[in-house]
Amino acid sequence: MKELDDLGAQHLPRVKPDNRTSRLGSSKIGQRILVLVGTSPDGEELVHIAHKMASGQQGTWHAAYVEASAPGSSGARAQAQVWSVLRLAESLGGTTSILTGPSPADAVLAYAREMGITHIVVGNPDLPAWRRILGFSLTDRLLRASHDIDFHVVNHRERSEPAVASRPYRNPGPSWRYPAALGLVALATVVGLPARGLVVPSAFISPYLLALVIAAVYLDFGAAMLVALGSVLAYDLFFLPPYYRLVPSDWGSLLSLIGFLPVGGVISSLVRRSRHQTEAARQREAHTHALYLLSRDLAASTDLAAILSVVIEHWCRLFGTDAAVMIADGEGLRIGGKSAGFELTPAAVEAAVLTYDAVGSAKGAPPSSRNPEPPQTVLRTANRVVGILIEQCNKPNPPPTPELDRMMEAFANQAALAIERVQFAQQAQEAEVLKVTETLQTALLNSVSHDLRTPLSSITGVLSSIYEEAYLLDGPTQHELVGTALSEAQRLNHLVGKLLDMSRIEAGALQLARDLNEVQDVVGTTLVNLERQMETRPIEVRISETLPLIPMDFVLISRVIHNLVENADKYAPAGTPIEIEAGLKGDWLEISVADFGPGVPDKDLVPIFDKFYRSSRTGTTVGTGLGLAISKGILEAHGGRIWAENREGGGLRVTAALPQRERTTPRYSEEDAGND
Amino acid sequence: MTESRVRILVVDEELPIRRYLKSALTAHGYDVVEAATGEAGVMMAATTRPDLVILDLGLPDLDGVEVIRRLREWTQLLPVLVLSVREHERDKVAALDAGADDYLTKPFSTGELLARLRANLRRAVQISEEPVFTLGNLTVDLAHRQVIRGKESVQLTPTEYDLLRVLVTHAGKVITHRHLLTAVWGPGYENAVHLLRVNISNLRHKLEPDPTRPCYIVTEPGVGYRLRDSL
Repeated sequence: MKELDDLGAQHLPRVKPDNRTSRLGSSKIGQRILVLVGTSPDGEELVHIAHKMASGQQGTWHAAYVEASAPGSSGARAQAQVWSVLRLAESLGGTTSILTGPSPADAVLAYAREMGITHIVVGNPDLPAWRRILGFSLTDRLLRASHDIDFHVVNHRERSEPAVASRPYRNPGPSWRYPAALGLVALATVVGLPARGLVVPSAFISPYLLALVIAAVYLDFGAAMLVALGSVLAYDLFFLPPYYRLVPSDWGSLLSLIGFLPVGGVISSLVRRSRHQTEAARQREAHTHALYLLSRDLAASTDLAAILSVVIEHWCRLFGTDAAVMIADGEGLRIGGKSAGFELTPAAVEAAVLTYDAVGSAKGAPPSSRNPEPPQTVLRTANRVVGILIEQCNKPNPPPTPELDRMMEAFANQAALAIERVQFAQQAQEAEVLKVTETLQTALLNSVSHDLRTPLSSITGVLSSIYEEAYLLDGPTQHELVGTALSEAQRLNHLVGKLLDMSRIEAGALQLARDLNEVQDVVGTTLVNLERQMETRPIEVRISETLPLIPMDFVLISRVIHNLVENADKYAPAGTPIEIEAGLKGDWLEISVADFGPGVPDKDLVPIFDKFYRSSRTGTTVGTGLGLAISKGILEAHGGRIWAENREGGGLRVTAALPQRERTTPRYSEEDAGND
Repeated sequence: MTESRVRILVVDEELPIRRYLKSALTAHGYDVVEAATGEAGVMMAATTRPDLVILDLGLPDLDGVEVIRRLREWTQLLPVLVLSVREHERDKVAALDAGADDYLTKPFSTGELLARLRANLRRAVQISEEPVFTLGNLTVDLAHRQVIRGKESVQLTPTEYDLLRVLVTHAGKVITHRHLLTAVWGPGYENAVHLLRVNISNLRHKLEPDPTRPCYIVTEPGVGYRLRDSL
């Protein structure tokens, strides 16, 4: 095979001296390169080569490790090397993958087809010559199977240190396996002994075969080999005549038993491979499940605190380290939450802030979100960096693997998205509140402007008439006009009072001067004040005789009744009575005002207590729309309630309920009771 | 009261109010003097010897209560009528407790103003005379401790009678809860509002034509009670 010295920006043809040839690669743009990383030490070099190739030709590149090749036999050190090579690949901008499958060549080709790979770069593994000759290397198998992909084989010239684990070696393993292997052989022998001499010797091969399979499946490769060897010996000694002599008279069965060796090897190897794959798949499934649990819990969390606690709890459980999350808000980083065992040092905080600043100012995202030292993970979304997760390891870390990195990154992405989601939701809510407030403010201004100016314009009109042209108006006319101005002025006063009440309620500045009061007194006083307005309105009052004194602010509750009666008067047809009732209901004093008017649509029964609400029945009626809202505010300040219902027989009943014992909402303050 | 016209001192910062009061009061035969600040008011009260003071509580320099205190240092009899705003019951009560006699809520009509004036000016006269008080079909004879409603004599408990007596001697003027409680039950009872409520309620039931719509004993919301002096 031709050696490749230096891979520059040019394509590099490669020709094998035998029949297997590859086409000449062409220097087209947009190539997709796949480099296969193995346990040989030239992995890094391969990665760099692929990277150069790709960047030179503006293509993309992938790095893959084929897992099925002798798994478990590589040992931890070789694995670590593979992982570090893959990380290097990622940091250079390649996409890494771990390929699995019963046939490595098929796995590679499947991946290559899926990704549209145009070139594959492989190293030249240091396989024992016999394997190479027999064409068992991965490279050879790939070459045989692919037709439209170019291959580049890189030999490395220098070998600074011996290839690590390029040949399989026996896993030391717990030492119980070998005695177990021997035990199996002994068992297989003992089983057959009683029947010795009664049947042909080849019949006794079966127990040894069974022992071999058992050893291959449940023990390891080495033990299987031992069983194979032991079986041959035992069979020879115990079942082949002459017994207890090594040299058999009949070589046939011995030869077939010798054939067990490769059988055992193959079974064992298959089993090990499949077990390894199962393990890997299981681990992947576990990771997926963990991510699923995380995303499920995150979806259920509605506020930032809940999300952070979910994130930290899952992180600690999954990765075994304590964690703290720092959130980026408008002013910088602040602590969002931490796990119970975490001690947050100023140094760690500072490091996080440094990272945050660095990441925030860097253009473009580095491929990896995780720094190993200090252990931080950047929580980032497409828009911005949401926070930094700091880890604290209380025990030595497991060596980082790309799989673990991927997990952490997936985790970090989920967490970042959830945090961002909550922050967006909060912003949306604030914007909504702002919008509603503005709408209300606009309504207020419009209403106030109109309602204040209207009576004022009447008053001004009348007064200016008299002022400028009194001589034009006769006595009675003047008198009438002045009367109008007077009532308009009263109306204006009324409105101003309502506005002041409303704004006091809004500001929580309503001060209750609560005293024990007689309900009868409050109702009576209110009605006296309304006498002139209600001259023609029949009012029926039904107040229970035995009512106790109730704690309330006389002035405010009187205002409530005033509002309710006024409303009733507005909507009830002339001549129909307004009914006022008061009585105890459990712990509550209920005062209700009912009319025989048109009532209110069911859907409006609650909204009528909103500020400025004028239900569909208002039509031409004048009114501020504040009376019910003010009443509601007053009742709530007392710890009471107010509600409306349409009553049978027609009309609306509004009921105010006051607690018999004193109760206040915290927004409102109490004056000294009994100040007179 | 002397032969000359009744003199009213108006203490109010707002010129338009002073102008209005002066014209309205003068038209009704009162003599009006004015002051725009608390200090000026106190001084004018001493120098012009008015028969009644109309005092606005929203003065620029002195608290209304302070003005009243100073006045009361040298005169117990001078009637003081305070002008206040609807939401400020506390201020009203404080002024009344400090020695003011009555109040008017702004904005008020001229009719209300004149009625209050009359009620409070009468006090100076009535102190030693007229033990008999009449209102509607109610007659209260303080000298003989008799209360007659229509044609019938009304039986009152001693407490109820005492309460009625205090109301009668202040007829037409507001009396604060505290004043009533201390006058009828004694010092220490300032906060025993429930006693007051119950007894007022009893009085109303015994004396009023319609106890549910009291027209004799009127509640002054947040302040106290007033026995009307005329219907």
